[in-house]
Amino acid sequence: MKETIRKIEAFSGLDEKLLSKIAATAITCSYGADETIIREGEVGIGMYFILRGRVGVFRNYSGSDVRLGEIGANEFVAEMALIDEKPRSASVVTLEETECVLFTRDTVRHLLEKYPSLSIRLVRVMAERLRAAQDQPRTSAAQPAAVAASGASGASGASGEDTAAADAQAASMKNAIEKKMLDMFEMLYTAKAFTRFSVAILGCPVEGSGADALEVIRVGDVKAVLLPASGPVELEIGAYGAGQFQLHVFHPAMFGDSGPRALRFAPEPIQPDDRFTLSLPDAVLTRHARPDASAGQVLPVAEALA
Amino acid sequence: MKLAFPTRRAVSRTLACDPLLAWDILSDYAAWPEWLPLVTQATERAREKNFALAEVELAPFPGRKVTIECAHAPGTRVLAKSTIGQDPEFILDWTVAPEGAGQCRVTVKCTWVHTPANVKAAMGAVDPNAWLNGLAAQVASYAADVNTGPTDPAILLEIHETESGLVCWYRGRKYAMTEAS
Repeated sequence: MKETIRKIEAFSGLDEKLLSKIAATAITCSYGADETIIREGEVGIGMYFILRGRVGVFRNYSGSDVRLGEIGANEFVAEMALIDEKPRSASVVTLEETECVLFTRDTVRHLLEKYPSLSIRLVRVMAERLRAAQDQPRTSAAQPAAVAASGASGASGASGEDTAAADAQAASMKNAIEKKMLDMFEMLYTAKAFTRFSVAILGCPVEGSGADALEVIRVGDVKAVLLPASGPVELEIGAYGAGQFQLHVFHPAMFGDSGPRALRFAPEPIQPDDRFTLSLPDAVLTRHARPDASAGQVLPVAEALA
Repeated sequence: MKLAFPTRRAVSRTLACDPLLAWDILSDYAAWPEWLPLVTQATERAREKNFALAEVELAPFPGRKVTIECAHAPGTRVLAKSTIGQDPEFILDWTVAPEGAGQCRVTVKCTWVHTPANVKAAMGAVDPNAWLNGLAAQVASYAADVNTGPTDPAILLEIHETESGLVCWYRGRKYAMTEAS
């Protein structure tokens, strides 16, 4: 089992002791074709990693099962069960003979808490899922998948001929992706699986950078910048276009019993080359002075999301 | 610093039963107290195809509920572990493999983390040999039913009244029946 675990990319580079620990609490399981591994609505207790084979993800819409996508070898399935307590959001059925490694929730949660690098790897996997959902062609057959991925309700019915409608659809998709990202990080913090990092979620059209930034995870136009939570850090944010800059900030210290879940800064009108600095853990967002001599200013937090 | 020392033991035994019967018994977590001397009470809290959550009370620690997470591969493996941070901390890893006609080899690997607080109570209770004795006895009780169970393949469903209550045979497999109201 240890050798199997070692080959899983998310666990690569882990030390022998940790690999042994994971291997001691994981098992492999083989399935025939057309076997239901996960049933929509059931409580989620564990996560799967596909060693070989292929599964389909299905969701029930008004009594009929709609295929949302496929997951193949070397990918995780049902990783959301590790961090949320919600019922399974879709069913997973094998499309051919499939072999999986099974991980229980408690084991992985503990590992995430103890080994922060795994949290980042898990976020990458989740972000990849959001990206894949976003990239799905919006054919009529795929519409439920897009709806499921975006969290939007109802079909768009957009003809594609109207540019304004297309723009509105893109904006709606961006908002939906941003919401998904916010939900994802909120769940990670609530599950105490992300205790070593702060996260700044940036809406377009800006980029975040700086020596303190550990990683930038992009899904469409939405970026999540991961920063260490161990001490004071600064994130430089630069605009590359005109529009509205939106910022949400997560910090582990916010996730006490009664503390806020995240801070939301008011949407800020921006022009190309506008610059901001976010200072953490104080969560102070400063707008730099513009070359046209407009003064710099500290921007207020709009809302503490509870 | 927490003083803890894990011990590992593995014991195997050949049982005279179909591997599926042994696996059915092992993965019926709520029924563990019937045959597993380590466990005095068990309640299954949630279950899906390959996972289960249960709450057990262990013989050495009366009155203390321990949550266990279980992962099982049908017919071959049952792994149960106490969730992290609890005392006691343990993993019971059962493997079932066919071994000739009508026989199977059951192996239990136990990892038990002893602490100064639990070492005395756990002494004697962490006994994989006794667990396999219990499993063998449970298998034998089912095997007795197997010998007297339906032999006519045309019979799909048969209900017996036994000393331990009503049991139902459906397509050659035995199910214990419980009162619904």
